Amino acid sequence: MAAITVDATFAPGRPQSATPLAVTPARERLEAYHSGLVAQLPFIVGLASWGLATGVAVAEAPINNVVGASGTLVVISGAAYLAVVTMLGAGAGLIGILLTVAVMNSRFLVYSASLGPRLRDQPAWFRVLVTQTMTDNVFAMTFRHLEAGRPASWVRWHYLGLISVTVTVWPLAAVIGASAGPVIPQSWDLTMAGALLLTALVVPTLADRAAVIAAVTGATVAVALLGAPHGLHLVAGTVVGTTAGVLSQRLYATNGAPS
Amino acid sequence: MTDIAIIAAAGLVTWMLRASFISLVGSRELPSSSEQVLRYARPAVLAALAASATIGSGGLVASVTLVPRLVGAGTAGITAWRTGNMLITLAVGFAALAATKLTIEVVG
Repeated sequence: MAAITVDATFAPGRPQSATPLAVTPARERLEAYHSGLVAQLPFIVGLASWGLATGVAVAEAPINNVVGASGTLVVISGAAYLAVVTMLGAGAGLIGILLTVAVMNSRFLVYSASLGPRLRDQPAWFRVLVTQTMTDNVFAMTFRHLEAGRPASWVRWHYLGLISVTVTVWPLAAVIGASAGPVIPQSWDLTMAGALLLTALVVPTLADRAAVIAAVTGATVAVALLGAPHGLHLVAGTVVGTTAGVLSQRLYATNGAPS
Repeated sequence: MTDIAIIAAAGLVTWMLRASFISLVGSRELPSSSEQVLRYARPAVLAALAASATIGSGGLVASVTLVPRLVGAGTAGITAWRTGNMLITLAVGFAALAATKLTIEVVG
């Protein structure tokens, strides 16, 4: 809203109105929404393959297919929900499942802390929506636009575009997987789509040399500990990688090396 | 019924983790040192995710099936860095993956 006010003040061709525009014009909202939709299109392959795999797991587990497929909208977090379904199928108890979800999704603390201060001028309903729907790629892409100083309303409509794709493709693929079984041969490597795009999403976060060190360390530690239970390898990778980044940044700062 | 309760509880845990700093901490200002930490937490967490997804749950077993995946991910990273375009990144990454796979099949 603030940005629109500035816009109206500084645009010479635009007639000055006594009351600054309170809302973004419909066309700008539509454009922001559309740009979000388009930005999320490459992720359809990954979302769909995760959804299919989850659906297959639902069909194999002794849980109601409708309940299992609906759960994709309750836990909008691919890997964690697949773990929930698989563990339910293996007869795991509530505590074990919740512990796994908490560890696997603890990375959301990083996303939440990164977005929190930057979403303060957003309406409450939007912050609640983000709280329910933010995934890894949606976080990375939204954060980039917030860093670039996009206006709050643009970010909001762009976000709505992004998650429109997520909340349709991922549950739909789960329904297909649950009812049709493994429709895509495993040799197609479609789940690699997510890995390829996650790799791409690391790139914009590499702001300086210390960030590269954080990324390389995080990746190395996570891979080294891949067999760890409850997805603890991700936590270890994050903690060690972050520490390595902070320490090398301090080292560069003291020694005056370029960062 | 138990399944519904467990899935709902898993949703609640996920919700609370996301809500932590967005809603629960609310308008309180984070200390400036936290932004310094987050600046390196973001690449660390995303790289840990990307690398784990690339290698897969099988881990680092000396296997030739890992080679195409690593080539694909490496190519995707470079393409994203040069173009900044996700669709091109996906296409080029998959092409590199498929080409490496094919090469290994032909040669091996």
